[in-house]
Amino acid sequence: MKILFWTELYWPHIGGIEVRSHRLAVALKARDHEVAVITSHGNLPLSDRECHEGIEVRRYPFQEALSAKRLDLLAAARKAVQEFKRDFRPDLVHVFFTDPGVMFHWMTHSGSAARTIITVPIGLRGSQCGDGTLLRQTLTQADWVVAISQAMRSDVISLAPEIEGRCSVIYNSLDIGIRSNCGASFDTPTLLCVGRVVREKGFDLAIQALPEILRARPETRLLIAGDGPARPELEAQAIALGVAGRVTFAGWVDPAEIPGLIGRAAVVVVPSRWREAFGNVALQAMQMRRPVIATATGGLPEVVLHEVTGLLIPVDDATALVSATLRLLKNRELAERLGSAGKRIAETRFAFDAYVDEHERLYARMKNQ
Amino acid sequence: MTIDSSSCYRPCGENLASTIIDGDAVLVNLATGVYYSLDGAAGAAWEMIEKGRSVAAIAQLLSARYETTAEQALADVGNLVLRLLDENLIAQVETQPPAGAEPVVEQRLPYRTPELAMYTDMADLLALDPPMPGLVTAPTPERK
Repeated sequence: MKILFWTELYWPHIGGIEVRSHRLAVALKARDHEVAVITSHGNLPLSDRECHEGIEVRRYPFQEALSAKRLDLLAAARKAVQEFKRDFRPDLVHVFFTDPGVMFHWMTHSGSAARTIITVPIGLRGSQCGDGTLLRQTLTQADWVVAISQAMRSDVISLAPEIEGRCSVIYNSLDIGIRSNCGASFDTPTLLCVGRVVREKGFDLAIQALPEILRARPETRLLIAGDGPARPELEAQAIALGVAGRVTFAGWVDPAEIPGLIGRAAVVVVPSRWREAFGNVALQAMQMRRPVIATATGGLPEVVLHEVTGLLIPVDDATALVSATLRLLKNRELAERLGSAGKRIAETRFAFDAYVDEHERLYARMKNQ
Repeated sequence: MTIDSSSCYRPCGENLASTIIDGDAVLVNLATGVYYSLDGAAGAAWEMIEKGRSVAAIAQLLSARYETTAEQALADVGNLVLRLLDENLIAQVETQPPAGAEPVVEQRLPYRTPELAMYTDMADLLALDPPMPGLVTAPTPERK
């Protein structure tokens, strides 16, 4: 089958969507599908076209054209996309929808027999989806819409109820290889938060919880891996609470090093305030056999099973975070039981091969419709 | 509101930019960031509006170029003009004298009702900040 991926950013960019679309493309290629990718340069000096791992990658300046309202760039990109689609003749176009660049797909789709599958990898709750919006066109004109969790499916359907019969869930997966615990210590336990340092991630709640955790377990450390605009606030908060010496801000960390950090953490904490579309950090922790404490929001409760693979706490509740953390730090057997169950579920429910299988089945169904 | 077939219209507003790409028109309101797309017959109609042709002349061109009747083309152009007026994309101008005949089309093209597609949420979608829960993103150098 000829599959055209459409994603705002792609390899060598290293965000979650970029990495996942890249791994999926490579896996599909290995199963004898012909895959090409339409994407953008992002802010890297990348070539307009290249072949990477046998996959043709074309990059167009969609963002520049749209944000600067440059009709010359828009016209050139549209023409180039149309020509590439005409040459490649995809059976289906799989769009990872995170940006308005999808407009170029619809502008070049008229008369095409190719099916369009839209994966929604981000939360869209609260987005305007009325008549005349690109979001509405994208959801309603797609032949199939894939959400990455039941919570996101419900959000998408609330925006466009008419797509209920052609919207399904394919859970995210991470093809990083299942590894084991790298030596987490419960004598000098590290609590780990990973992600972009923005208020919505709730890392401030972990800092807020730390003084009380330290009263019971003074050897505890909190490691925050990631960077972002809220970091100065968090640093000030740690100083104000007198725990600066127990908090490490690692800043940006190479994704290749994240599994190691997770493996050395006693507990991985995902205290998000916003509706996480899925919960990639939680899944990575499960792959590494680590117990997870996460807020019960968005797709997180579908990844972290309460009392099975981790503990769920209410959003914005530092007291609940203290209790859950101390429960795990004081009961190593419980922590290990949750971690082991997480690993089993990561290897089955969220296995990467199953993720590829589900896409392949969907593609076949769409092509034969 | 009905459209008089002898009326002529022109694109309006200093904030409106447009381009024709392979017969399709793309418009953008530079002030609001709203994009509009006019494909196929609608693109051809826009091209004629830019030339100040009357509604009747535009319909005549469409029925010559596409597989549709003169009556259907006239009704569709009238509806398209109403949509364009609703969006303040065109304004009526003085009726122009008939222009010379458009080039003869050897083979008529399949017809789709000319429609105005609009994208009002481009700014919102540009501002979508994917949380990328999980893997952190590398700091990236400025593009050269």
